[in-house]
Amino acid sequence: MSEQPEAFACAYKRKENEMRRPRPARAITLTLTALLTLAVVLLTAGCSGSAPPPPPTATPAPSTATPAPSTATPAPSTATPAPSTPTATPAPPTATPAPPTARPAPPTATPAPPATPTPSANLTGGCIDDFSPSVDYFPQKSSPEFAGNFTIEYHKSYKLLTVKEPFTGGSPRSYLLAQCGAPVPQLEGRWANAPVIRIPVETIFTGSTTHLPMLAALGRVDSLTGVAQTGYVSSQPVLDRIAAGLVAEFAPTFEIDAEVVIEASPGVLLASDAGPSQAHDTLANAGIGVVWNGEWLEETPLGRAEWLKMVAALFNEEAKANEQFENIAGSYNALAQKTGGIPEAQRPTVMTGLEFGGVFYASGGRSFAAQLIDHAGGSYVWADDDGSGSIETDIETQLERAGDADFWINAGAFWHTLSDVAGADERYTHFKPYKTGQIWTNNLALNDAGANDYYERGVTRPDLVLADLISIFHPSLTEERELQFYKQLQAP
Amino acid sequence: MPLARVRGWQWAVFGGLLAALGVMFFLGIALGSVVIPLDQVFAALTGGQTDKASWEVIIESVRAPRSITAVLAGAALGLAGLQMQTLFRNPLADPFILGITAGAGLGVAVVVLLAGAGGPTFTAGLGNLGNVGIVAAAFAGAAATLALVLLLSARIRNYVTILIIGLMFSYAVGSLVTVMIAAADARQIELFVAWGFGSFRGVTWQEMRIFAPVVGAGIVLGALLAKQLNALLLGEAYARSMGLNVKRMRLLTMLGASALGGVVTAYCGPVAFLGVATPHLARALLGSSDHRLLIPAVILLGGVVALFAELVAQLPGQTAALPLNAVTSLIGAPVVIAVLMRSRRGAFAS
Repeated sequence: MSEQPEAFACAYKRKENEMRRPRPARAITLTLTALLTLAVVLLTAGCSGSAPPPPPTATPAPSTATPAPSTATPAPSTATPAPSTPTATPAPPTATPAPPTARPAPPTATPAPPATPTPSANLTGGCIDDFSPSVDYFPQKSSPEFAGNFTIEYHKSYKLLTVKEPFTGGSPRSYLLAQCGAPVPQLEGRWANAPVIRIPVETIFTGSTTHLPMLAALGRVDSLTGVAQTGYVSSQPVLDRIAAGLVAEFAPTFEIDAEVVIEASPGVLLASDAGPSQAHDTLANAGIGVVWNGEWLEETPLGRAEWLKMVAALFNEEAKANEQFENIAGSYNALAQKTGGIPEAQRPTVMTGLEFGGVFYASGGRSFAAQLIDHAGGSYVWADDDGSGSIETDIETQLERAGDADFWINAGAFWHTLSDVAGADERYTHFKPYKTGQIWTNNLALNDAGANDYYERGVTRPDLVLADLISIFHPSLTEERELQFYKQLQAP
Repeated sequence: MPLARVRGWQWAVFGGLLAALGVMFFLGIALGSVVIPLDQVFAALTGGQTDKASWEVIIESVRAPRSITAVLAGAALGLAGLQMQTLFRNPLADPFILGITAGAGLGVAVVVLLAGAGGPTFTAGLGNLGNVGIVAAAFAGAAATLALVLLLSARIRNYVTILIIGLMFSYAVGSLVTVMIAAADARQIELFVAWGFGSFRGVTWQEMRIFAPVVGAGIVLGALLAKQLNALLLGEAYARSMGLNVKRMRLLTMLGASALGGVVTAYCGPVAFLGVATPHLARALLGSSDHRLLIPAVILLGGVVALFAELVAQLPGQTAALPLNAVTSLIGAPVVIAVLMRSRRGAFAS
């Protein structure tokens, strides 16, 4: 009998740690950490002693402070916001302990072996409580069509996610996404050591603003508990969550603050860093699932937008992702088809870029910008280049190539009038788009804080960007519509 | 100001430098990443029509200001370096020894690194800075540092103390920049590093209206102080016995040299090496430490070296240029070592 309470107590402690997840606001977390430490200390004392703590099933999130004795009484009043935060957790009570080994839970396992109906949809919240190895828990599946940098392999109760190039030059990373409530499979080879992520994840930290519209598309903004930098966020629902203190900022100095992440213990962290650092190891050691986001290494705008499916796989939201992406790809391809037949002679020539410190930076010939220009029925001046990043040239080469271009797009993000162009560098005035007033910036959706939705929604909705560009290059091809991202610089 | 006695072979050196400057300048106009036939270059220079309209723009608006900038910057750095070396009697002194570059760097860092959210792509952050913002920030930083150092040094007699104060300024200001770098985004840091490479390509005709007069004024001031610098070579006591107001002369020299260094840094970034090397090359070439000879020599030589570096930086057939500072140091260092090894008079004849 003395074994049981100890096991329970320690399980309970683990449970508490999980329960702490959705509390980003620092004041709250600090208070709770203090409380929790106290509770853990007391519980540890209780492990060797006699007092058994309450059983885990009976504890929803707000009660984390309950085991603390009366000494802790003043604290709950200071921690008033705490009870409100658990509302963000999607259905915690369903997250009953049900350990995969299922040793202490015979009643559910034994009586109903044949009564496991095949689910008709993926479980988008909580865990399964009557695991059966013969059931396919993921009837809804996604597979990338345009994206080349990730693959998902579906099994009955788990998915194998591979990011082929997690960062520039990085070797493939594999992740085992295991359905909550099902045992974690013992796999061989490169899967043996793959990080395990319990899905559907309840909370997510994201390093790239491009995932925010994806969360919105999946209806999972409420699961967002951390972003790398709050200053880059454009999406209003996310800004609201930030204002409410529900979203932690985990890399304000562009370096992951491991403590902030561990404190919040998100179900998954999508890392969008230039390469691995010690912080990633620290997080992995702390049991945080770090999934590399290789979305920005995709080669096509649609491929990049299709990472919606990868994010969806973490939430079991494949059905929504498939539907949303089908719409995006459908409207993108319909638009591209309209301009596809335009002969080269009727395509306006288009330049991009800016000069800085003696170097003119322009989009590469295989970059997203170049592809969008092509699909919008334009002719990019660097189309013969085969780089996907940016070209570093000088202004005289740019003048030679693009001096008489018809359009200049993606010009200075902070330009608003043509006089800003001349003021920035008078050599810009020798380009034809300056003389004809055809300089377009992508800063129409710039908010007061300086964040540009072009880099957020513009990435996940390439169809909208393409529609903008077609309106600019071939106004006759599109019906009257309001531009979403692009703005023409006006004469002062 | 009595003219210096110039020997025949020294006239030849001056003639050679002038010719080299002319050739380099022409090459600077004729060569670039875009291949323009020579006859078209002549046509553009003589006001004629070029076959392609863009060539005229390239020569007039890109190459001409670039080459003039190189000449002016080289001259300014050479002269300022010479003045500082003589003033501080230190062969390692350069125009930036009083912390001017560090101050300019701080100004640029504030603009580039604290510019706020520009967006996650590299060029997104460029728009609000432009060259104008960078220049203004560097100017402000350099001027503020200079004012502080001059204010302090007016109360100090000892040269070494002034040098150390300048050094301390560099460290203190540099640490502020380090803090900003630590809190900045990788792309912003890339921009800041790019500024640190130095470049003669950012100056437009518009900016030339400030750049050229400031450099000109600094050169005139330097020429006027040539004789007093000569007196200083013989020691401060001797200079004072000749009726020289050493304190005033010291302040004027520091002001002039720092203004030259500061304006070049503001418009071209921290161009390394030229300020230290050009005076040594000039002394070795002329075999003299008479400033009435050295000052015109460093002005010509500085221009030649700067133009040469700019030409080499532009790799033939490549659209992107090498960082200017890499070229000046990589090519310049062996040349200076070779010259010094052959020179009978050694590094710092005085």
